[in-house]
Amino acid sequence: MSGPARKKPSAASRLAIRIIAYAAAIAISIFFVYPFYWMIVNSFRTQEAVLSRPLALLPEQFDFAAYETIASIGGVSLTTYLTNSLLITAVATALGVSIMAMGAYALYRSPKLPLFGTVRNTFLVAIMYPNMLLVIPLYFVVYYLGLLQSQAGNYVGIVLSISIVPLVFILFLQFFRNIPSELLDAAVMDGATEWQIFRRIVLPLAKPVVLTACLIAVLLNWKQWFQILVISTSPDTYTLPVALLSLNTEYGVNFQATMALATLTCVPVIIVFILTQRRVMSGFLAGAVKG
Amino acid sequence: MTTAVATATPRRLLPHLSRKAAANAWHKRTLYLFLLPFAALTAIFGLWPIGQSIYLSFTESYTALSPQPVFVGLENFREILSNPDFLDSLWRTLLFTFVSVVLNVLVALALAVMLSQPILERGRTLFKLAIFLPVITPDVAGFIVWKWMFNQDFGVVNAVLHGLGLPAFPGVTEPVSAFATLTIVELWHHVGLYTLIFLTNLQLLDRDLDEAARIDGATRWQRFRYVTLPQLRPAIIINSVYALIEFLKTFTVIVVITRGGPNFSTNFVSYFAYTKFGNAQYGEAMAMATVLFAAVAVLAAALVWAMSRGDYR
Amino acid sequence: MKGTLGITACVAALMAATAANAQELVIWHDKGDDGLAMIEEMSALFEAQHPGVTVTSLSYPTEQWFNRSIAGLNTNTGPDILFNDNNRIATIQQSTGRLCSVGDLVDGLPEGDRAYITDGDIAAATLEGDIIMMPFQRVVIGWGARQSWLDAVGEEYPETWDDMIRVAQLFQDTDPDGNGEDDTFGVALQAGSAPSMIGAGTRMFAIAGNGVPYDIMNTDAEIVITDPAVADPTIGILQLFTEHGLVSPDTVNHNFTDMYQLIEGGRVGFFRVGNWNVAKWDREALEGDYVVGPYPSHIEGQPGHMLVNTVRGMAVPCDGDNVDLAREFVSFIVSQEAQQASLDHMGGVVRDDLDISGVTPGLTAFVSGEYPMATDSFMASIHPWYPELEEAYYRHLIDAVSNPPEDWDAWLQATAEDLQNTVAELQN
Repeated sequence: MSGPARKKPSAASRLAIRIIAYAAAIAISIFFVYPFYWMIVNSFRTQEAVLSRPLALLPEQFDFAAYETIASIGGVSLTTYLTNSLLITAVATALGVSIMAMGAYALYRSPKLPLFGTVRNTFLVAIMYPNMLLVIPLYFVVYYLGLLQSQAGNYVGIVLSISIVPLVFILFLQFFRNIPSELLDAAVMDGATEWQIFRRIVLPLAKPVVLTACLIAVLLNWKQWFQILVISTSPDTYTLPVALLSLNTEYGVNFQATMALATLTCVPVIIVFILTQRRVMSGFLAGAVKG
Repeated sequence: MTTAVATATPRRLLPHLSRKAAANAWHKRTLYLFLLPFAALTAIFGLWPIGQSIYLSFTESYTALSPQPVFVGLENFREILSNPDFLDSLWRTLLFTFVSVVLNVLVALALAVMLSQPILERGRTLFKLAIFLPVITPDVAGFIVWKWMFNQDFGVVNAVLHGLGLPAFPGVTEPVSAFATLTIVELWHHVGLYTLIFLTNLQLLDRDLDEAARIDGATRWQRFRYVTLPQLRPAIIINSVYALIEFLKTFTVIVVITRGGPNFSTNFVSYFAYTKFGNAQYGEAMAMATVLFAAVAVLAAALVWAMSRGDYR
Repeated sequence: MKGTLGITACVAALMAATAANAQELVIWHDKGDDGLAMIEEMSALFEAQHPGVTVTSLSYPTEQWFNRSIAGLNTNTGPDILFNDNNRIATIQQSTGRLCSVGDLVDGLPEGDRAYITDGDIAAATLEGDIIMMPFQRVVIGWGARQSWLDAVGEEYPETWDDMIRVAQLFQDTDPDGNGEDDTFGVALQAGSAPSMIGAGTRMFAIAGNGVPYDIMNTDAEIVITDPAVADPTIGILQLFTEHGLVSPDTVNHNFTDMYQLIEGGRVGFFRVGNWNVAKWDREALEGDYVVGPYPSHIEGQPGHMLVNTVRGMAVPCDGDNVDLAREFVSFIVSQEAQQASLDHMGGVVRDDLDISGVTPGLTAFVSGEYPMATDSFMASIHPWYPELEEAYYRHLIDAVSNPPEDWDAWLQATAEDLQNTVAELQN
């Protein structure tokens, strides 16, 4: 701030830049948000109204019929789907982030250990497979694990199969790479065990990235549908997005109900996102000051 | 870049200095324990089903899932590779991926840089939220909305274009514009994630370096090009590789919006393979999946190699 | 491998143990809420005869139903009964071979029930000589028009193709729904896939409209698309996309769900009506504002037909845990009371001795017997590779929509020759 400013733009041109910047940012934001807005508004409009006036910014009248329709989907109540979404997301995130943090740390700490390279490469290769085509193999795997026979087994299978979030793992790998290794080497010289190093040095440093990881894992796990659809032996273990997908049956899509369910599926996530975003931001700031 | 090399050097020297062999063994055991859960999940839910599907690609379709599959060697591969429809599908997939990766990384970088400007201090949270919303919206729902927005007769897109006095956009009713439509929708869906990663990394930047460059009289562009961009290298690598993998496997958007049409112009490989399930042609479907998988692996490896030459540990 | 076998054995033992206690039959289908409700009612009826037995069903999206059923049958984790259309049941059997013949059950039906199952039903339920499902619902399809639109343009329900084109043009060019906007289309079709474009388009107008037995190929594996009774509707449909432009431009990507949105959104005048659609369309969506009749004909003086498009049935996997009970249930579904439930919830039945006083107006056309019925020849039951031929044909059809040929007859001739080659390849 105190540095010598060699050419200072005039107040007028600064204002102009400001206006242009905001106009651009707002236009871009509208591009991203509008479809979303459209979805919410149209969950309150009948299909006929939507088709005849697609651009309407507000419902002519609030029609809650769709929300009544989705109170029970395929004979299962909406609260079951909601509970499943919460439960599966929470457990998969907690489990997945712990497993990935430790795994990524181990790979960072000693990439040359026997088998470590194999695990890393296997993972990188596995995420490249077009997993939509694994419908049948995944079912077989869960069957061989004996997880198809009970509802509890279904839940376990679902949580385990979605808990590894590739993006989060890569994020950890990249983060650990930036930890100054002198810090850890000094601890090794002081006789600290690997567990102590991880617990006392790495985790505190990684706090911001763990928060980010949790955020991303929650958001991505919440919208998972493929594994859940494959592993569930009944709609009792479906989550909201899977319910959304199963609205599409032989009898066509109930457009308004789809919008209503999509709206319900998104709202909790948006709230979580807004709340955690501040914490993640401050965590980042703290980390940036130290780094 | 020089700093990265400098910090790496003492680490390599240190193991020789570490004291006891016993401590070393324990050290390794702990690390194996750390890695074990991750390795197990990767093996069970990654490797195993993939291995099984590759195995299916060598079997005769109708017997593929029966207790005694009939092995046909490379027959399924020969079949699909001599099929012009498949080669066409493969080519379209590659083109779509290339366009999308480049576009997404550039747009994400531009958005992140824009959002990190002090001038947008107020409302930055809102802008970020806006750009990120599509990433967390269940993709099926987002795509359904876009499908209707691009619809020819009551779609918002054409209503807006019409209002601006521009010609109508044919959306998914014509091959080339269908391709463009999917590019736009996929950008909408994915770019927020890449932007967030860039933005996170921009906030982790070493501000002293930038300040030093500024004092030395570097222009805004020079500072971006020579100070910011090199520090963003890890983020660019993550984003490019992730985008490459993501777009090569493009699937859900096709299911929802075009189903491979019109006239097979968006019949990308993963969807083409999926449609083979409908006729129970599992052998061929899995052979297509295997070819796509190989393409993803080779291209991703090539990308990592090309982009990380020089500073990759 | 040994460990895997151990786990498998444990699983099997566990399953056997649970099965012994719970007398529950599970059915998998893709028929949504109507299917769930029908089976719920059938279950109540069945339980009256078999105390302690419940029958539940799960409805999956079609693709999922398909993949799960195949995977489930191969791992013995499938349901006790599969319920779907004959062509889908046949594909399951081709991929798994695990469906048991129910021929003995069909023969063992009480005389009063057996009499309603026709040779056509049996043909649909048969794959390579085995009757693999109990037929109990005929899927009948007719051609519908918005009644209020016909009134608005002052026309009658068209009997010939040319009349239909004329009326469709009126629907599209005027404002039949009176909303002041130019937002209506003449005809709803689907062209996003082979089953959409052929199964719901060209086949309908050839077999139902003109009453010919085949739409692509005859039983001797000869391509018949150049036969005038097939060629006329085929080229006619393609011209709806090209010269006439009487379909929504998005139709090239549509499947049935998109088509329903256009129909239910009140934007289209002519459309396909299946007997499973009417319950909803009489109750909501169209609120009964439509009329159903036979498909319009191309042939002078010959009226069109409605079409028995598929036959739905229930199939029993051989290695289920409750095979005997499942077989009893499958015999039960053609009984009068079960058929009544089928009629009330899904509109499709095989019997004609049911109480139709309660059916909604839209269904009357399907059950009253006033229109002649044509039956599909179920070529896929005879030639398992037939869907692949349809796939090849679809590529020609959709390409003609994208790149309309100068000379349609020459195009059709060339397509026929190409398909004949495809047949030769597929037969090998």
